[in-house]
This record gives sequence, structure tokens and C-alpha cells, in this order.
Amino acid sequence: MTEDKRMYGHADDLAQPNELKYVGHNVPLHDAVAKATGKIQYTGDMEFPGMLYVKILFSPLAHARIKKIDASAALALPGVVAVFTHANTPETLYNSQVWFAGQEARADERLFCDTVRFVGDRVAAVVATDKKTAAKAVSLIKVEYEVLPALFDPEEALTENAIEIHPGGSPFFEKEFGCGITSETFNKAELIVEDRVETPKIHHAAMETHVCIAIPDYSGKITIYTPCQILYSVRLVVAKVLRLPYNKVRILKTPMGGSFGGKQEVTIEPLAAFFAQATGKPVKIEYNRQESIISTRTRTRTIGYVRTAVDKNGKILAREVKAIVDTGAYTSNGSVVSMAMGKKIFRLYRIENQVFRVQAVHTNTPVAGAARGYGSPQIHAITEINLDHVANRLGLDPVEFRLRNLVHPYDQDLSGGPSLGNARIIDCVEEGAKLFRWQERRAQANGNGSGRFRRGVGMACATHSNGYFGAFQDFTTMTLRMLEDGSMILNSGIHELGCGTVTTMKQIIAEVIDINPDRIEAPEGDTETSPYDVGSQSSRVTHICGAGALKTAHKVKEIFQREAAKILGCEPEDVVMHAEIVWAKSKPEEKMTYGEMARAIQRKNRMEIIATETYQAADNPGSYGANFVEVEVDTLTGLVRVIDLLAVHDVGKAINPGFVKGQIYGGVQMGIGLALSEDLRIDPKNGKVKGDSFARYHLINAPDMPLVNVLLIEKGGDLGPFGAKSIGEIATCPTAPAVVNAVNQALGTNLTTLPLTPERILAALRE
Amino acid sequence: MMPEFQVSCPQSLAELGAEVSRLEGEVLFLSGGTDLILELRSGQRRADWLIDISQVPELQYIKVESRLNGLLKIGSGVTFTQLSSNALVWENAQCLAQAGKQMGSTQIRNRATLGGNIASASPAGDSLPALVALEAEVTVEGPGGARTLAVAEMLADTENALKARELVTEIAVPFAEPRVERRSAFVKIGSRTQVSIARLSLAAVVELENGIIRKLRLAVGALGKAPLRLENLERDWNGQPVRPEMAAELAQRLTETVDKAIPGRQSQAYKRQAVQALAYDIFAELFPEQGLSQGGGGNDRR
Repeated sequence: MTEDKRMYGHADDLAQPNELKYVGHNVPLHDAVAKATGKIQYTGDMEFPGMLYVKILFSPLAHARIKKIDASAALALPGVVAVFTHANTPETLYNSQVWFAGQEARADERLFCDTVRFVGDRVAAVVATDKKTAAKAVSLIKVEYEVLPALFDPEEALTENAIEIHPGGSPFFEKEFGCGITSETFNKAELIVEDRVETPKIHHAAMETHVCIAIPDYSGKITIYTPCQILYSVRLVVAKVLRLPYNKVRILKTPMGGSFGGKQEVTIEPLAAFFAQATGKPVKIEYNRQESIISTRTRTRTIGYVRTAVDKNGKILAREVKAIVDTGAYTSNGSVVSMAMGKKIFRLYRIENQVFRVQAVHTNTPVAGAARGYGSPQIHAITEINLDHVANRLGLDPVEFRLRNLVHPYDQDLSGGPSLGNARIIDCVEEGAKLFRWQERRAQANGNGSGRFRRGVGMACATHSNGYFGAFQDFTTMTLRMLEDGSMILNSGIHELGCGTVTTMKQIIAEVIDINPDRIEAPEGDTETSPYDVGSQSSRVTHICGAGALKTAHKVKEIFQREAAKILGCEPEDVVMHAEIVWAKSKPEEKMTYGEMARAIQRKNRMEIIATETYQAADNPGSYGANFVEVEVDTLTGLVRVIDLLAVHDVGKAINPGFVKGQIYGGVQMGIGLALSEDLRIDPKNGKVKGDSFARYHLINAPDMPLVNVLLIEKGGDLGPFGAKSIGEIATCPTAPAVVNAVNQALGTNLTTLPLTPERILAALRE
Repeated sequence: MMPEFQVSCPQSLAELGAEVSRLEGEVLFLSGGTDLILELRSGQRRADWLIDISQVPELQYIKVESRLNGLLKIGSGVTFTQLSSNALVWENAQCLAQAGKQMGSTQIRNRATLGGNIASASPAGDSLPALVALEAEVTVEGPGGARTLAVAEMLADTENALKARELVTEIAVPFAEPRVERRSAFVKIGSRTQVSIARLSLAAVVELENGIIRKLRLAVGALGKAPLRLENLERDWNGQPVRPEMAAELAQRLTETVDKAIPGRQSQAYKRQAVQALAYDIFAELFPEQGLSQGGGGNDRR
């Protein structure tokens, strides 16, 4: 059901002009068989002798002071080992999203507070010998609350007499940055178009809910098994809360049952670690769906005010974007995501005069945090919906309007960020428009004004990062060795999130060493034995870790050739390595396997084939994408069907095209959900999450998924391995605004509050 | 967390009856379990005993009886998959088959039963408007013996509702008189195409003689505790030929029905408008010869 179209640049555009043996091929996911046959052990499947189970009591109130907790009945229940509350747990404050030591971040979370700040905040926990007892005991805990006034609306948080959820109130973070002079330019503009765009709180909806296990040992060390995205982040927070040295906290990455940013921050691990420390027993915490929805992290609700000034030729003269970022009850990544949003707007269009202002606020709602795209889907929804509005007002085709303003390869970031690199968004839009038959379909959809079912065609563009270069330190260290049978082990701090990281690393190494990827083991990170890595975040893994794997593989190849040359009696450059066979160029009849050579090198040279290399990120090009969408709107019910979608992505080079497309299909599914149906729906009366189950929180399911066609633009040109750039997050960024723009074309509306629920669509049609 | 209870698995109706009188404490019947298991897990309901009726063969049948003008009889243990793939149901109670096909997901339809849908009596229950429009009767057996009553009566009146240890055993749909052409249809609006609880639904049964409506029954679902009949309209159209303008009239009546049923409710603004779609959809289903289909449905119906 999908078209496989990939655009290749001229051979000299690619980092590697020769034919590639493993890179660019659809090597299967390393654990696909284990997953499909049920043999993989997820954290929820893991049991340890004497393990204890936890049930958390969550706050039913949005804002209240805890006056008294009576846990006597719970403690009296046989099988209950302990009950933890704010009274008997550390007062240490921490921030859940710090990922490097010394990172400044507002620390306002505790294991348990004496004040609850949202429905779903943690009040107490029962640790018991089995789940059933823990659940029963939780229902026996009596809590007396003093109800406090609560705040749910982020704009209300900015009003003068708004209540303070944390000392100092909101905004707790403010920033303004930009380039050029906007105010004067606005005065000269032919047309100024303003919009208010709002995006909702969203649940990540990974199949696996939040789960982890903590195990104490005789030496005071705590070992944690967790399907996380950043091992070293978990270590930081756990060590802080438990007051342990870093080498007494060991974090092991377990198979990931889905994250999308939902497991990027440290949520339940410090709880499990403390309970394990306190009881001396292994402790498992496993949330159910409702608990994962209300009490972990959500996508950040964002309200954007955009003003765009253009001249009569459709040149964008200036733009002002103001964002209000609702981080919920605790700070989490509120300031970091605010900055991440702002940076994107300087990297997609050539806008010489532009300013971004952001205010981050607290509300008594579930805590926001990392979510696929890290603010990028929100800021692109805000700006790309506005741009279609501008195009309409100008009477210009949205594609044509964008082509007049999009960035060109190797443009600079006018706000001072890193170079955009080989930015191929114009190729994406031009090639995509052609393949989608944009002109024809747009014109066709335009004329269907009066019937019940109306077709609309829309598109949107987006950009995203490739790591932290330019903002934070970004590097990775890897150790690669060849064993005595010629097989290899990569030791690194990688995290497989299900996207294919492990296999991608293997493909890169395999290409360099000329070895079957199956002969390489690339275990996931373990903070006790793996070198440091910044983590699976910021769309950095293929671009940075992949470059690290490439560098390390080249070093191992160099060592192998140097040592083999001594065995073969030739120069290192004359050592031929081909399909796990090695020989000297001058003596092709004397062939050895890699394993035979590794053994000979051990015996005669007293050497191991091993290299540890650190790769320091030195670029941060933009990944780019454009989505073209056709929708059909039922003007009686307000229901929207996305009928057809083309996703065009500038990925530099697809190391594994199947994985890349997998990311795009999933990204599109999440993007349509953001556009049309996904919303936690916080009750404005009491702060309860209405969408706290999949019966009431609707994802786009298979029957409502459109055909998704993918076109990849592969023109290399940056420092990623073989020219590769990121796809995991950018994949979801253009979708929501493209769908909204298509609906607005179909209906002649300017809908700007997401999701476009049937109610909102009918209300707009009534106007 | 699943609470503790014991399970009894009778293999026949006789065994089932014996178990109902033997077991002590709170006894609930388990059939497909698609509602009950969730309620037990969440603590909304509790039980000392669950009687699993899914293995009772006498509750599993779809047959036609010739009594009166003919009757379609359906055992309460029939699943929605069976219901929506059975020729007798399509032939004699199309709206019920269509409701069955649109309920839940494939997995839910494989488990959930017609008896369970009636017993749960959810305002959004998909089979209920269809059964009400078909004037179906339901047989209930319990410690006090058996009783037979209209589905509409059972849903409308708490006095008639299922009592403790009472089980729905059979659903009977009466046929039209001979030589009368009967058509029926069911349409619904959820928040997505499939796997969606009805936000509004509509079932219609119309009997025609030489193109003249001689009997019409319309039932709207998800507007109240039980499906609402449009009795005024049913009377007004009696004896009239089918006209294309009727779709718009029905739409108007449905909006009025919403306004009357849920005045001031937050969902009123949406439902009073969206309900009109059901009028046009059901009209196109019932009278394809009128050529009133408004298209739509994405690529499926292209």
C-alpha cells in the first residue's frame, strides 16, 4: 500500500559514492523475531526472587494541602511491607529532565510532596508482597486534604492575581530572542496576518506503560532495570534522591515497549530505587494505562500568537511569534522545550526580521515533558497554519508562497544557531508537489464548495534538529573489538527505542569492516560498563552515535590492517578486508578469515583488536520534511477523514530505508491524532483528565489511517554517517498543520485550535 | 486489578438453572465479558460468583419460526460476529445486522453477545435502537420463572429491568405481514470510523405496500437512557408515499428530538446538527432507488 520512491542526488553529493553493501539496505530489526514470537523479556515480564510490588495513591484533587494521612489500616493488612508518604521519604527536590551533571534546572519535584498540585499527583505508595495486596492496601489509606484554589488555564496563570502553584508564580521562565528589527518592518508591510493557534496536552500512547525494577545489593548499590531513553539521566536523579555516589547506582536499559519521549524523563525510577533501598528487596513499579496517562508526562500544551508581515510578492518581511507554554504542575522541561520551540522558527524560512517570545507557566494539570518532536510539532502547527492563512489572504498558492521563502542549502541560522547544512526543503516541496499532483488536486478540491462531503488539500513544512551541537555538549564514546572468531562487540551507551538504533549501528560498522551485521553484537547501555552517551534524545542517535560508530569502526579497521600487515608481511594499506576474509594484495592466494587473523594477532603480536573512540558532534544540520494531504470533511457530522498523504523527507541518507519509512508511518499517525482527535481534555471544573483511557482518548486507528506514501530526498552533505540525518522526530512535525490546512481549504475556515474535533468543525461552519 | 471471585461453567441450560439456585452471594452472569470484566477490574461491580454462560449450547442459535407471521429467534449467547454474518439476520432484521457490524472492533465483536448488550443497557448500546425499531421481544429467565417483554419496555422502565440472577435467554423479532415489504437500516456517528462508541445512532424499520408507507418505526440511540422512538413522525408518514423531501423532514425532526431530549446539555449544540447526517444516511440506506446518497466515506466508496 505504499510507494517506494527515493530520490538520489548525483553520486558526488553522497558521502560514499561507491556501492554500499549494508548501509542503505533493509536489514531487519535485531530483535524483530524475539518480539514477534513473544520471547523478548520486557521489564513487566521480569521477576526477581523476593520482589515487592507497588501501588501508588494518586491525588483526586487538583490542588490541596495534605493535612493528615492515616495508613494504619493499610499497614495492618498482611503482605504490606511499607507505606511511603511525604513524611518518611527524602525531601530532596529534583528536576526530571536533567541529562548531564551540573545542568541548571528548576528542581520542584519530590518523591511525595505535602501539597498535591494536579489530579494524578503522588500522595502515597504501598509496597507489598503482591500486586493485589498493594492495590487493596492503597484503598485503605485515608487522607485529609485542605483544598486550595486551582488553576487550569495557562493564560489565566499570566494574569495579575493568579494563584501561585510554586513560589514566584508564573511565568517561571521567559525569553525573547530573534534577528533584525521587526517593529519597523511591520510598519512597511503590505499585509499582516495574525493568528492564535492552540495545541493540546497529549498522551504518548506507547504500548508499554511505565515500568521499572530496582534491586538493592549487600554493598548498598542499587541496580535499576528500566526501558528509558537516557540512562545517565536516570542515574543523576536516582543518585541525588538516594544520596549515593554515581558508581553505586547502576542503570540497565531494558527492551523498550514504546516511548515517544514519554520515558525520556525520570518519573518512577527514583521511587522504585528508594523503596528498594528502604526495604532491602527488589521492587517493581508498573503503571496501568490510566496511571501512565495522568501521572507521567504529556506533550506540552502550547498557545501561540503569530503575526506575519509580507510584501505583495509574497516575501515574508517579518514575523513575531509569542508562545505560552503550559508545563503543568511541575517544571520538568518547561524552559528547555520553550527554547527548542523558538529555535525552529529561524531554520525553515528566510526571514530577516523575526522575534520569538516565550513564557512558560505552571497549571494544576498533568506534567508536560519530552514528546516526539520536543515542541517542534507545536511550533510548526502554530507557524504553518498561520502561513496558509497568509497565502490565502495574498491569493497565493501555499506551495508557491513557501517556495518563495524557504531556506536554501547551507543557509545560516539568522538567530545565531548552527548552519542549516545541506537543507533540502525546497527539493522536498518541489518534488513532493509534483508527485502529489498538488496543483491539479488543489484546484479540484477548491471547487467542491456546496456538498455535504468536502475535499481539501493542504501541505506544511517542518524542520528538526540533529543533536545538541550549538546548544549543549554532544558527544559519544564507543568501544569496538573483534573477538578471536572474527565476531565483534560494540560497547556503548545506546538505547534502542524500537526505531532500529542497534541494527543501524551494526550496519554502519558492517559497512566499514565488511562483515555480516549478524556477526556484531551491540548491546544497549549499562551505566556500570558502557561509556558515556548523551542519550536517545534530540534526534541525535543516528547522526551523532552513528558517526561515533563509523569513527570507531574505522579505527578498528586501521588497527586490524596494521596488525595484519605484520602477520602477512605487507604494508597496512595492502591488507585487503573483504566479506570476513583478509589477505595481502600481493598474495591473494593466502587468505585467512577475520577470526584466524584475530587469533594470529593475539598469538604473534600479543594484541587485541580493540578501539575506544570519542566522537564530538561538530554540526547540527536541519532535517526537513513536507507533508501533502487530502482530506474529506463531512459537514454534517464534522468528522474528517485523511484520505491520502505524501510525506517527503530530507534525511541526508537512509541507513535503513525500512526503518526510516517505519518512523514516517508512525509519525504521520501521531500527527493526524494531534490534528484531529488526541487531547487529554482537562475538565475546567476540577482538573480531571477526561481522556484517561483509550475508550475516551482516541488515537487514529488502522481503519482511519490514510495511504501514506513516502519520498526520501537523500543528498548527504553533512557530518552524519554516510550523510545520514535524523527522521524519528521530524517525521511527525509537518503532519498536523498539513491536515489542518487541508481542512481549512475544504471548508473555507480558519480553524486554529487543535484538535479539530467534530464539535469545533461544526461550530466553525455555523459562524 | 481483578478482584477475587469464583467461576461456575455450566454446560447446559439445566445445569445453569441449578447453579443459579445453588450459588450464594452476589452472582453475575459472564458472557463475552467485554463490559463486565472492565467493571470488575475497576471496582464498579463485584461478585462472589460469575456464571460463565458462554458454554451453554442452548443459548447459541439463530433460527426462524413460522408462528404468527414468522419470528426470528436469537439465543442470547450469539456473538456480534455471528449476528452480523448470519443470512437470516440480514434477510429479516437488516438493521440489527448492521448494528452488529458497527459495534466495537473485530475482537470485541468476536466476544460480545447480543444478550450482554441488552443486559448492559448502555445508552450507547448499538443493538438497542435496532431492537426497539424492530419491536423485538426479550425472554428473561430467573428464580421467579420466565417472562417475555418488549425490549423497549425493559429498557424504559426500571420496574421491568433485569433483576438479580435474571438472565436474558432469547430475543425474538416479529416478521411483517405477508406480502408487505419490510426494509430496515441502522446508522451511527462515533468519534471515528471504527472502534467507536456511538455518540448518536438511528435505526429505522419501514413497511411498504406498493410504495406506500404503512408502518414506520424510528429509534434514536445515545440520547437518553433508552432509545427514543419518533412516534409523531411515524404516525405522520403512515399512508404516505416515499418522497425524496422526507430525508430533510426527518433531519428536522431529529434536530427537534435532540433539542427536546438534552436541552442545555453541553453536547446539544453538536448533536442537534450532527443528527441530521443520520437522517440522510438512513434515508439513502432505506431507499437507494431515490438516489439520495451524499457520497463520502473516503476512498472506500469512491
